[in-house]
Amino acid sequence: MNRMQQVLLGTAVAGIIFLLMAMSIQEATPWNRAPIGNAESVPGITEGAFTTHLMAFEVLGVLLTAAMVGALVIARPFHQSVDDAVKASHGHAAAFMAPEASTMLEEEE
Amino acid sequence: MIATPYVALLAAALFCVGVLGLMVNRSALRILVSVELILNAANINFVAFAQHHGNGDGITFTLFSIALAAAEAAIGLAIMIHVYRHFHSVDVDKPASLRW
Repeated sequence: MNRMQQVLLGTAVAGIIFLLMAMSIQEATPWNRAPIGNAESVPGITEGAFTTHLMAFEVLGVLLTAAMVGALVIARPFHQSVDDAVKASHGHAAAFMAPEASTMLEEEE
Repeated sequence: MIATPYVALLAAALFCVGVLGLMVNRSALRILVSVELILNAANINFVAFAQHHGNGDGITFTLFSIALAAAEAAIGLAIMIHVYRHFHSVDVDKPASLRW
């Protein structure tokens, strides 16, 4: 499949999906709005995050930490251990330091 | 305040742009951006219907969804860096095998 056919197929699929969605939105009328609850106040939103959905909030924190560590491990250069990566990051940091600071770092090593 | 159907239409349009990007692009970076567009379409729907129903849970889920998108982007970019080091390209057609 060449590039032009790919673009045409993608446009057709996206257009059909949009038409289906627009038709279903139009058929779903009337859209009766409920009275405003806690959806438009910051205290209402934060209360939900820290009471009803507290467990999800905590799990999300763990997930973000795991994702950060995972991303660092995946993006590490080939055949480099974690210790080597830490040492390399020290050297990399030294390049951006003032000359006296990098000298101090070399003396420590 | 904008009526909910118009916001839903905007989200549908954003979703379709994301789908178009997914189908047309071969660069992993552009595909990642397209996935983010689709996620943001879902977020817009969450916020619109939370306001429509007067319930703040949808906005809370949106916050969770944004954090999930951040995690996904971090992992995706890390995989992309790895693929680039191996294949010298981020074209998704290049890595034809999962054997590293």
